[in-house]
Amino acid sequence: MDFWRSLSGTVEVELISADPAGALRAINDTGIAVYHARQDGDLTLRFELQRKDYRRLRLLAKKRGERLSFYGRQGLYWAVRQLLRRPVLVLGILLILGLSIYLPTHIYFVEVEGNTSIPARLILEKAESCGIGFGSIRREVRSEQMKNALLEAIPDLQWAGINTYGCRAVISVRERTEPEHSPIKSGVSSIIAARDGVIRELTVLNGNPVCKVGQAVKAGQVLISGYTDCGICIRATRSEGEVYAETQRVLTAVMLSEYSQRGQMSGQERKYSLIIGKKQINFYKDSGISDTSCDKMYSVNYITLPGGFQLPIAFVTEVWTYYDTQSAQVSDETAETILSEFAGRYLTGTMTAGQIEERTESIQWQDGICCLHGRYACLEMIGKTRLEENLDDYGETDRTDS
Amino acid sequence: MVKRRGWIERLADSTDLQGEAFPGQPLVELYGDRRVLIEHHGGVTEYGREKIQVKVRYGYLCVCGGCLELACMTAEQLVITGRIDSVSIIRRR
Repeated sequence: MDFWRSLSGTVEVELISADPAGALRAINDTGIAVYHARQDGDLTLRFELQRKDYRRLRLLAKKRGERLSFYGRQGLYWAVRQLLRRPVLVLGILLILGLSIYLPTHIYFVEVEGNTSIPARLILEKAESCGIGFGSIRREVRSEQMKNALLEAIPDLQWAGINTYGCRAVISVRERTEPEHSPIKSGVSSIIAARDGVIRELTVLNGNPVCKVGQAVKAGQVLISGYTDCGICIRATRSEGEVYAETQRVLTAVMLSEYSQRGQMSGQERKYSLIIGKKQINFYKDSGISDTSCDKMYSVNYITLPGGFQLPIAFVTEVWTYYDTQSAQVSDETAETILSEFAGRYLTGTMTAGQIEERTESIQWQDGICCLHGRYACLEMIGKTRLEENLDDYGETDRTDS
Repeated sequence: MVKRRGWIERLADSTDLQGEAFPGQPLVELYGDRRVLIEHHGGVTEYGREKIQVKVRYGYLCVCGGCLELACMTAEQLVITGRIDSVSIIRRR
């Protein structure tokens, strides 16, 4: 069928006439075009004509006393007309077509891959400030330019790359790996005292010990030297060893004898808000700041499409739980126990290695404040490595250069 | 009595111009044995599956064959398809 004829639509009819040839002649004289005419019987003609000529043919057949029957519709015109009777379908098709053309030109989902210690949220925030965010035009995403901006914004990144797939952008990153903190493997070093004490144990693995067990040392005093005088030369090396000494520590700790204690739950309140991008719309009247003490549970639920694509729209639920507070008093024994345990934990934490051997503690109460004064005799590792200056090479050395 | 030919036709014969250069002249084109195109016709005078007769200016054009169909009929042209056995001209006296 001719395309233009199909576009305007044709109808198929059946004409029963005593004189089929005369009917055709009459049709032709009227100026009606006829297509695919065939004779089904002696008196029956079936043919196609254009939609706009059907009415004229019907009038002509009626005038000539012939019987005209409608058989069917053909052509693109009828299909389009049928479609227009379903406006929702047409709108849906147009919408899908429009979206399929428009959507890939913008970025709507941004993902991060390759990060381990740096939070993805931080990278996404910096990426948004560099121009990669919800709604960014895909053509304006310049990989090199944005990569450099991202590396400048997050120094912990070693490398970053941006790839776009339709309306999805993937930021691939590689974090800087800090070299492992290795002990000093080159150069000359000595072991010095980190604090005052009386040496109880001395273990020398490398170097020249300049103190002995039972000797009192001061903080900063060399315990194991890296230089050894060999007579004709000075041997420089890296000192290694452990020095345990008796030390004295003094500690003062305080705490309040009266404190507020959480009681029964007095009430609970829920507040809702909506986050769109960076804007938050609160569905409550007040400022959201409570003048009483309470607990607050804050949960954010982002709208996630199938496939894990997260939209920048989230529902926020805040649950405020109010409690009655009661005043409570700490007993003397409890206060002493708490302060003593704290002192022990604190001192042990400040030591490189060691333990508390003896403790002398006293408790004082003044104006509702419990105060602990303690003197502690500890056995701890006081050795600390110190790099020495490199001297000119004029003798034997086992210094290894890095 | 032979009808006197017009001066245009006499001029066409003397200058050896093709007939289609003149408007209104019926034109018959036969495509193999399956399709006949007739231009400037005067309508169908006889219609059947074995014979279709078409009126032209100088008489009638008769197309005989089998399974004949009017593929297209407009005011200007007419197309007959089917198995065509013969195309003959019947002059009007």
